Amino acid sequence: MTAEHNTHDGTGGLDALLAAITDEPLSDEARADAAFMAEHASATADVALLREQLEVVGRVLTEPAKPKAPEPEPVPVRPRRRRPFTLALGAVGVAAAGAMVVGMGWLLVQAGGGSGDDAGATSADSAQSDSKDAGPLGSPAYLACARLVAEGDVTDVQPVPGERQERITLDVTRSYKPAKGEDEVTFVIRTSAGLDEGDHLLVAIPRGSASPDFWLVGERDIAPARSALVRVLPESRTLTCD
Amino acid sequence: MRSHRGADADLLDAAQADRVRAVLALGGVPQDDLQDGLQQVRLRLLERRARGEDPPRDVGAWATVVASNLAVDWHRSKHRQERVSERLTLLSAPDAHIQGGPESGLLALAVAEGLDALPAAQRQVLILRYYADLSVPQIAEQLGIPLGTVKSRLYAAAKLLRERLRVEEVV
Repeated sequence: MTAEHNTHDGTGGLDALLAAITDEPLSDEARADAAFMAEHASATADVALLREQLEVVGRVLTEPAKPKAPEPEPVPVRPRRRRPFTLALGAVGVAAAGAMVVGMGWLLVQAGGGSGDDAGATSADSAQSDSKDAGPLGSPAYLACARLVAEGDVTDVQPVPGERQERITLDVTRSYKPAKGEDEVTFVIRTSAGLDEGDHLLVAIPRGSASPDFWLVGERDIAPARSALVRVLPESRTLTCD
Repeated sequence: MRSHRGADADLLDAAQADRVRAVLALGGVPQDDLQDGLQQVRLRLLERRARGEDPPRDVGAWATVVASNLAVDWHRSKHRQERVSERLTLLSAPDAHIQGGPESGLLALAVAEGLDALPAAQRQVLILRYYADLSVPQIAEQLGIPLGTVKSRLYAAAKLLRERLRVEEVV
């Protein structure tokens, strides 16, 4: 494979990214090319960021595992009712009195103090709030970084081969973000979420993800969250996801 | 370059062991198997000594290369490879691991997802270059592949990771 991208006249065919990743010395011609040097600086900065984040990921992956509460088996029994649900999330134990589950996106918002109402609350405190709490759906910052927030009915649940995940098809009854979304959406979720056909769901999927990091099942849990969501949604549209 | 050990050392120091485990984890070896992987690296070091070979000039670098090869072999033998991004999501808590606030967490997740998307060979050279800090010639020598192949794999891997970071609007 040859690096034929981002070449500039006068650089001898040198690719800025390739030069950055191999630490190759730059020719006088390349140094005289302002556009090339700008691209090279950008590539160098990105490589430095990559190196830094690999260090972070490596450290997180190899720190001793924290004790985790056992995940419950998926509830096979109908009809819809409040489901006791325990999920361990690293050092944060989540005991939800309802089917409220939080994921990394919500924890990140908490770390940044993105929720005005909950600034200063710990992620554990937030995760253990009762079912009447809207969770991250009450946070304009969280909503600003969500690519999909919708309500609907589960019409299909298919296991993903070889994975502890299921592919969920949702018949959308109300789309909050985007305001005018698709009539049907599909996403992947952990099997332990225990979703069934016919479940009425309020789901939020963050940017860059195929899976929701927050969802509620059943009108009893959805109703208060819906109220908070509708209230803060206009403010979230004024924010950028940084 | 990571810390060096004396020529007569036959075990990895704590820092080297940590790096080996991280290289295994970044390569997709599941958490439960990291310790076994570390033991395999130690075993190969002892076997080398038993054969009368000189110890590696840089034990730490050598060990990370062995670990990266183990991770590639793990993938090829169709063991269940752990998705780094999924593991990272399960482990992360803002107060525990990913310092620097929510932006740093998003960056780490973008990188983890990029690693998961890479072919094993590209992932290996990326980790050796930017986690283990081996130079391009060192990687070529240690893996026994041409310099051009290392550059090619590294370029493809870095390009994909860079695009991932941009797509997710974190840079």
